[in-house]
Amino acid sequence: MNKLLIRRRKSLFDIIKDIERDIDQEIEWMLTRIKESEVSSRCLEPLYEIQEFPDEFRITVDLPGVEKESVRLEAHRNELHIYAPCSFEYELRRYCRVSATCYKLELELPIEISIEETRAKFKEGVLEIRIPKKEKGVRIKID
Amino acid sequence: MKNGNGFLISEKIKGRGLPLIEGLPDVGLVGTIASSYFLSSLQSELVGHIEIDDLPPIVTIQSSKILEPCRLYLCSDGNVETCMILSDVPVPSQSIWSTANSILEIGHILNSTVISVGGIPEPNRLDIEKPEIYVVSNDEDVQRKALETGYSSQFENGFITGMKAALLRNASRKRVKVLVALAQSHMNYPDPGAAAEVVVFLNKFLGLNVSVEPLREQAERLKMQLRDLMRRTTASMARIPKGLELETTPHYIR
Repeated sequence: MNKLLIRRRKSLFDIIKDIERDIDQEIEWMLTRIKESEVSSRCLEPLYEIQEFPDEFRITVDLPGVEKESVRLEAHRNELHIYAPCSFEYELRRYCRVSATCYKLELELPIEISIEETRAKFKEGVLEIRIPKKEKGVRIKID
Repeated sequence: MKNGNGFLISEKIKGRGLPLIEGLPDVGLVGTIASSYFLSSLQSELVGHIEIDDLPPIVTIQSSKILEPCRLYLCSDGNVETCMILSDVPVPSQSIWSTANSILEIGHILNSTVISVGGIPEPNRLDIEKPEIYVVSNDEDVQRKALETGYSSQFENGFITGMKAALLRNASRKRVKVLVALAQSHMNYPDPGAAAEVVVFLNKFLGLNVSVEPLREQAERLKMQLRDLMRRTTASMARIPKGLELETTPHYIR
């Protein structure tokens, strides 16, 4: 009985390998979900990055083939919605032609978005959005 | 020629001293874009492949041909010949050492200088019109020649991680000259602008004359087409301390 229990016990390396395999599976699942969603909606999920700074959130979204004037950027409380038609078609699948002609992204942020203070710029196909954090720190006097 | 280390190369390129350019998927896909652009701009011929360890069963289908995901090409503009290593999938982090050793082994058999091109993450890339190229080599003559092009600066202090680091670390032991050329780049977005600067540098370094304008014109379309590879590469890079490339090296008291 004891021998059976010992055999079943995993080494630390096996546990780490299991975790790595789980992470890989999760990433693969996420990448598959993105492609499935793109194929069914015929809208691309753009590459994006969210960086948090002490005073603001900086979000960059890669929108190649998009004109600045056609980008629709909307804020709904703590959600940011981005929609942009693309000037050329993108083949979602090579073996059977399914194409997409727009980008769509919905992001949820941990803060409410202040429309007045949020700034956005578009340069070389990259949209940069800077959202200031509403609650700023109060300086405390040191005696 | 089949080697036990997991690659296959044609006898016709062996020992000829042709430069070997490595542009495997990395930061901003800079090396991938630059080397695939050379491939499409020059006369090219498939001359081998590298078997990447730990890669799940994957084949690439191009024009109904079944290909290995990581391939070796011989490219020529009629005067200058060069070899290119390209991969359609990122190299898994656990396979970087073995793949780097295969590349160095090929470099040794070809009697080549390995030129590893890629990007170095630049957080303010959006504000940079013309990305700089930074070079570092384990061979002084190669380094000097790279600097003499006038299109590159010396990589003085900092960290390099991933495939480039593995190539530099094992280069001298394998007696292969390695030059790493890195352009300031977006980290997680394909960066054809940075790749265009690499093409300009390689033109000068290798004596090629590939026009860079078509690459700049196709930049937006390329970025769109490479989204999936970029996403996979970003996921793969998460296992490598890429953040180190943004840090400065510790300054010790001497």
